[in-house]
Amino acid sequence: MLAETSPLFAAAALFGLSTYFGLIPIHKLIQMHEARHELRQGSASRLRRAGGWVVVALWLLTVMWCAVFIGDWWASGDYQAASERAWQRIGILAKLAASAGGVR
Amino acid sequence: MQADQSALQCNACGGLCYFSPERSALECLSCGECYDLGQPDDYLARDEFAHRPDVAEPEDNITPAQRTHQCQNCGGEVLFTGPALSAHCPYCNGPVVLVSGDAGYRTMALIPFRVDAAFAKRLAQKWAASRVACPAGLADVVAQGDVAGLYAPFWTFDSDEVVQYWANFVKPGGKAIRISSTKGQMKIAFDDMLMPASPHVTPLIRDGILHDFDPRDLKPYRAGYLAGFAAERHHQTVAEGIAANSADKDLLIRNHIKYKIDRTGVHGIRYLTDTSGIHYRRILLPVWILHYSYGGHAYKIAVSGIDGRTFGERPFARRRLALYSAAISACVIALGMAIGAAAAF
Ligand SMILES: [Zn+2]
Ligand SMILES: [Zn+2]
Repeated sequence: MLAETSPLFAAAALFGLSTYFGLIPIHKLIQMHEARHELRQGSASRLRRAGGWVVVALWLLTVMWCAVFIGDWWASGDYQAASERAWQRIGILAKLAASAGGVR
Repeated sequence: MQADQSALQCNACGGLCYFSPERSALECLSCGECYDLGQPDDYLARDEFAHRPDVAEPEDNITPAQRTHQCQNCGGEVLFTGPALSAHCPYCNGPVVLVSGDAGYRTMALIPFRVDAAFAKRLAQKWAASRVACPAGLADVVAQGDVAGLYAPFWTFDSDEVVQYWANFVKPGGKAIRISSTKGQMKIAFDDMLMPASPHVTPLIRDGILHDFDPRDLKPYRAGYLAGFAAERHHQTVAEGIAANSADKDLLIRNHIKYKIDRTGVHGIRYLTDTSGIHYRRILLPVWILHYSYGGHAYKIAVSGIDGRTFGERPFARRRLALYSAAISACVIALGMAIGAAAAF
């Protein structure tokens, strides 16, 4: 179904979806920013709020992955080959996410 | 508690006195005479009390207060001393009614207010005005709110923990992700750890505004310090206080363990701790709370009565959040597409 549309239309759709689903991560991002600057260092409340980065990372990585696929498809003009490469990249993303597990 | 009323009367004119944060003394509302509440042995307020969980320690310091108000909204029991009685709960702004027989434990020490109401309100407004992605005109709404001065009940806890831990972490390198496990032992000494002594005192009040709590600022409990303010009495036994704050302590211990291990992707932490040397104080800390409502929701901003540090709750403007979201989305998509286009060749 997606293959029948154009890459630029897909990019526009991704922009709309990302903006909509980005509301929650942005909200978390601002709360984390406030926590970093205003809550006491090492306090329980600050540690709890810092957990919000998972949502932010998930949003950014998903959007990035979709965008890389669309860029590939747009440049190569080959939907099939681009989607095969996209699935290969999921493995790299999973590794990235796992090693980011300890970053705070 | 029995001598409260007479202690708050002016020796010169018999008028009612209130505690003035500005002059840090009892001040007569009628003639302006000031009375210093300090005593030579004020340093005794820093004393801590030992607690041994394995030994039953009946506490007989329960004293009933004469006039306590109970909030009909959140159930908080608040004591108003002297003049400037408020008809509202400082915690939630709900209506309060007079109740009798509120038994509480003896408060050992407190830090008197140093920031007055007008200044606290200005600080709350300033805080609200500096928020990212807040609705336009939020500062004006906050300006309509009233601040209530409250002596909020807190514990300070000392303890020595001997922690044995087990955990997993992610080992980087190679093609596959490898999970390794580790174990160890460490000591943690908690010193003067502040813990809320009432369900109405949120951790946000503690972690948001009381950064610079210093036990050396503690004064012995005297009714005069409370004159003109609301106060909640201590209702928790030591065991209840420890239990109510165990989730926070657990989080802090886990964080200590994470730092000790110092690896990426630490997860699945299990630990056993042997706690000893528990010392505690029952204290009151001065807090200004400003209540305001926006879009049908109630919010509060807390200002430290010690140094004016401010933190609170605030609404977000959806449209401004969407603007940020759109901007970041556009950047990420542009970057992603560029990478993708490069990968295609
Ligand atoms: Zn007088
Ligand atoms: Zn209330």
